[in-house]
Amino acid sequence: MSEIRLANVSKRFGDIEAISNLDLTIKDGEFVVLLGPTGAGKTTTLRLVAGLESPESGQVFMDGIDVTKLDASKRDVTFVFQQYSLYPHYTVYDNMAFPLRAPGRKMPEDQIKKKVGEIAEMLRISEKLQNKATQLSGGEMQRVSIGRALVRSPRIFLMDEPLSSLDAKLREDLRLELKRIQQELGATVLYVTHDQLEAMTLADRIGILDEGRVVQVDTPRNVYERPANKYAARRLGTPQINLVNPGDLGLRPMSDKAATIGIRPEDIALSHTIGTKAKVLTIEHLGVESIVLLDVAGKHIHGLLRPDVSLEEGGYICVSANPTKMIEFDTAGNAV
Amino acid sequence: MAQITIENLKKNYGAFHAVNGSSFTINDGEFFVMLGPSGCGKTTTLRMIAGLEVPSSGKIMLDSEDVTFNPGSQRDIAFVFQMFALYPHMTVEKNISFPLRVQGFSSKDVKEKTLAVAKMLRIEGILKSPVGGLSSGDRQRVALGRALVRNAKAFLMDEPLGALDAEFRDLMCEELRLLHNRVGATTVYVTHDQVEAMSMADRICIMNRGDVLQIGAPMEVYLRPATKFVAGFIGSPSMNFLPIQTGLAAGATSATVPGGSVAFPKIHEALPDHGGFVGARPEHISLSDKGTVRGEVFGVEYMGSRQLVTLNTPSGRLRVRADNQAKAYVGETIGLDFKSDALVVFDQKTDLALKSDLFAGASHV
Repeated sequence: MSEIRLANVSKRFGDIEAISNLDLTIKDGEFVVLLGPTGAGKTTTLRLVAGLESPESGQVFMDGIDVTKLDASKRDVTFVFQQYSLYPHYTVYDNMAFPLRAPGRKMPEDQIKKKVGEIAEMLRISEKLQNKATQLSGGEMQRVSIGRALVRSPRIFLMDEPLSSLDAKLREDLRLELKRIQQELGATVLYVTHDQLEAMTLADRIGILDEGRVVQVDTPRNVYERPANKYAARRLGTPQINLVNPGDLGLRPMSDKAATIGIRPEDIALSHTIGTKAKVLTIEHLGVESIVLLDVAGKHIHGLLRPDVSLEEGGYICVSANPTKMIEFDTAGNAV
Repeated sequence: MAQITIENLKKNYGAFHAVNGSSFTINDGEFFVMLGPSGCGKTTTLRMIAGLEVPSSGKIMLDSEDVTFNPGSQRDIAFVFQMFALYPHMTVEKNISFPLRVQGFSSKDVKEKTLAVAKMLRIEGILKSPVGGLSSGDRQRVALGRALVRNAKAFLMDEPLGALDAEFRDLMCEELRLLHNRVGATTVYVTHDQVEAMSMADRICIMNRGDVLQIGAPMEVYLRPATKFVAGFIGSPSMNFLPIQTGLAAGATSATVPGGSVAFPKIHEALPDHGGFVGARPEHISLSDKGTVRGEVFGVEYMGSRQLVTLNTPSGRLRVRADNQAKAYVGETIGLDFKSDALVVFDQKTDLALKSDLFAGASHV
């Protein structure tokens, strides 16, 4: 494992600047998740690290060595894709052993057996090792394909939405497994996703990407509680943070530069007595809590409702905000 | 708008029973969501309501009219598919107005109705644009507009948001619900996504393997699931199930589970000797040294407004929802406290929830 650094990297495709002056360091043993919507430059960044794309400018370092011009096959990285691509006529064991048997690597068979056994154990597919790949469920196939990557000890694992083709329940399980295995192996991982829950739960640090630019790299908690700008604030949290004008909901900014105030739905209090009167537009019952969309003086505001507070669509409620939780943004959208 | 009544509806494909005899009524103006995993029979049911499939037996009523064997074109129902099937060479306006022009409305009527629908969907600014270059959200709005413009008796939607990414889906869910509140059209909506179902439905109908398992308001099915399958399918993360390895007498209020004992609302029927499960949602368990069931923390996942703590316990791997300031560390052993009045007991063989004080006054299918 090793430290990977992208220094001032830019990449264009024709007229489109996919990546602009990107600086990012993934420390040895760190799990970094790049989060952003389609087209933000996530996959391009992975491909630049892998050497599948070469940058117009900037450098890629691995353990301090400039590998910008180095061929992909010499970089010692492992890719895990969204779609599992297993050899259907091979057993699970042979699929997982495949990278270790590659020419030029030639690991002795008893070592291969040990390594595949360990990883299969971690991924809880030990009983399936002799099955043909085609006899597996979708979730098992994706485990095998992750397993095939993990048997190697590359400098870095590059993962491109490896869980997104799985159903919700399986994703919850695998998220936790993947994080645990990464910690056990001390693996360095660069992982890209558009799923904020995956990003928050997996990452040591999240990199928020906006149109090819990194706007913030920090721990999930810091990005959530202290977003660098409005864009980052909106990337984490469901429903999204409310953005209001100074003075709305009784929120008075501390800074005179504040042009917008962010307040998360869980920091909005609903009662029958205190605050600004608001009309209830919709209530989404999600079980543990309900998301309420309110019309506060013509502005849409999201709040959270505990299941024991009764409220009806079309009714009225009073809304106030916790001033200690407000986040102030200037006219450029940056946190003040 | 209309009420839709389904009576003992069945559909077989050879020996395969896609729908096993469903009976239910969708009320006038209701947002009714059919939820279940793929292959559960939800889409087949929807297609029978639409007239795209002929039932093997049973009856479908639209208000007081038996439409079971009417072709789809004679049912006055609008269908929205997952893949926005738009005419790529036409403008937004032409796509939306297409059903009206086919029906021979005057051009003045067509124009007025199209504009009204476009305003409702906030796409009046792009009426003259070709649909080719639109974002997926706008394309979805155009597809909805084309359904809405007909003023049909009911709207049927088959995973209309399935192709959108998560963030945008949340937004569209809210938009669809707002639209429904304004228009009040009877809507039957099929999805495999429980979050969509919970967030939009007046009532959810949960199906599995051709059977309707429960029909109820979102909070009803969430808090008082009729079966273990329903309990596991609704809610994310899933309900936790702790095994009960013995029978229980009617009137029992607690049971022994591996690692301790758990109290629950008084059960009104006995649990047979084959045993069952106590179901506890992640928010109905808290980290506390009072708890008899103890577990080793396996993972702590930060989720912004909350944290999810996963523990390995003698009763299996359990998930606990904790607030975002809670302190829990991987490897430490913590006790678990259960919110007894919210727990559900399930029969291991029948999968059914046992009647208990929790269900007093609640209705099962």
